[in-house]
Amino acid sequence: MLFSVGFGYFYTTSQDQQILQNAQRQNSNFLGQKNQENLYVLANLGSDASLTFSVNNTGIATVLVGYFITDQTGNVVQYKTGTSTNPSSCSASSASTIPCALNAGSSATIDPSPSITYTLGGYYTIRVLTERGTTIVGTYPTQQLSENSLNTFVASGLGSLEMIFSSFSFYNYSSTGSPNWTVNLTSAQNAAITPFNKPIVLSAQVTNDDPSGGTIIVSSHTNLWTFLSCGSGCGQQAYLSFYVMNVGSGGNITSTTYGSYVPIQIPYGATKTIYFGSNCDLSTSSCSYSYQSINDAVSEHDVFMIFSGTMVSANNATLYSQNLPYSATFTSDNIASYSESPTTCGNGSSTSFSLKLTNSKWTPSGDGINQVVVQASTFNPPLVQPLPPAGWTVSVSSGTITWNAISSTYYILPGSTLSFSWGGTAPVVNSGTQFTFVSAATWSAGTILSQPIVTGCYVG
Amino acid sequence: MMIGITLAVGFAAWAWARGAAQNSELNFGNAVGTNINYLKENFEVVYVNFSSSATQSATVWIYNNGNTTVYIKQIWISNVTSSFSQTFTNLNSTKTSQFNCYCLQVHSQTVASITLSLTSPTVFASGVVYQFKALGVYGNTNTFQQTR
Repeated sequence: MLFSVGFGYFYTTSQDQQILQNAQRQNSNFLGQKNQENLYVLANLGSDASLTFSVNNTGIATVLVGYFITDQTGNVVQYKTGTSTNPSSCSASSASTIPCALNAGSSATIDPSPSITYTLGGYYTIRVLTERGTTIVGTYPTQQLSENSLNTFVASGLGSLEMIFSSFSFYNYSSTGSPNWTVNLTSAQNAAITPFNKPIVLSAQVTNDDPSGGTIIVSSHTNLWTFLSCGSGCGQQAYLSFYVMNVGSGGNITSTTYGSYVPIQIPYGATKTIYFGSNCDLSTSSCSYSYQSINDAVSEHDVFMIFSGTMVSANNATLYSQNLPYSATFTSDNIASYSESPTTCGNGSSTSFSLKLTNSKWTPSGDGINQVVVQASTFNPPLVQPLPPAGWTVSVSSGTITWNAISSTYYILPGSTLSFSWGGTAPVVNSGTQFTFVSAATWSAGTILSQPIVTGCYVG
Repeated sequence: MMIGITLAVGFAAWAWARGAAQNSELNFGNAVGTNINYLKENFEVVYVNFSSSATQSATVWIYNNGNTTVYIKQIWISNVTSSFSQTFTNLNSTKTSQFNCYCLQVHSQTVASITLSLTSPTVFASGVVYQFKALGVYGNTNTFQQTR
């Protein structure tokens, strides 16, 4: 009895256990192989402006079984899927057909059919699916850093959002007061210098470089704040927060009351301009839109962007926050803008420059520009220079050209522009060289009496 | 007579022991089978597309990355705060008698899609993060999140 019953029982259960262990081993192997898949997608345009993309395999061999191409609205523009049973090999030199087998270290070129013609301003996201269920994401146009440097940055704790320094700008309002708060988008100026104690809106461009391809949803807690480092004794400084807001294409602010803010989505690879201007968090019940200004001091301020929101990836959604030590801005009462032409000079050639200088409308009404200095010793300016503007004198000393207003009648007043002509000879160089002219504009009154207006010319 | 009684009792004891062992083998086998089916049921929700013309509709693509046919018996749609949810169990016009469900059938190594429509008047709202959770007949789930 023991033999006939006991043997049968133990034989059967041990067989079952073996089958289960085999299944567990297969499952474990499958997950291990999936983790060894490593691919990336590069999209580009063909000669006829049609979208193509390539898939580079830096992991183990796999089969591409599908792709989804979506536009900037998230709609699927085109998709292809197939079974991975007996697929042909992918090709890097000619268009591959999904599904196709992609060996380790190989690439596949895929031309979507029918072709997708790229239109300027469009934005496409490409998701490629492998036989093991891995999804790889690529975009066109791409604004990502390379995978290696990106991983390094993210690992170092900078986070998924990347800032574009040159985009930091400020604006005035063309209309104020509820319900017609409007940003004057045409008034954009570089925010390296910002006006003191004036209602302004700040903006910056931000790119989502999240390595998992996730979308970042920016909530109303997000703000850009300025901080004056110990200007009047540490611990006494104001934290001036400019909260995020919704701005329409015409500059109209659409989030002015509690709950009216619509979260801003930044898909993977996308760059968006974020506007900051509200003096309160639009998710707080007491918040009603009012302007913010940098009103603590005329001085250099640190600038930070605090992002708060949600990160949504293919299989997860988590709260997200990031602090970008973004930039700096010098808050001044007097602000000038300028340009000079030409910006390229022939090697050893005689060049005539035109410096156009504007005393901005941000400058207080009584503060006029009464002196302009251009240090151009590398161009050896002759003592005799073109006639100065009416009411101004010009002199040259040791390569420095100085213009002075004869009287207050001829000052460059806020909102006015004056052009200054000067000439010199470009040096002879063996290879292209950028020469800079360290220059300055000086005001007759105010707190900040001088502003650098450095220009330059590329000689080559 | 003693021999007869001994044999009868012996056979009865053997029959009881064999029955108990068979019952135990069956239960163990069923448990093993369930675990194996669970392990072999592999699928991924690979993408969701919100219809631009019908704001209550979304198309869900599901890929079977396993080696056996997958039967999806339920898809659950909610927003990430779970303040809204709808469950879809009628995923096929034909009943899958094996599992007594109207399951979406996804063959091995293939992608299947299904378009789901929210019950009126609910629509997919712009800017909201939605969660799509698919449930296989053996208990595996896979979740995909997408913002409209």
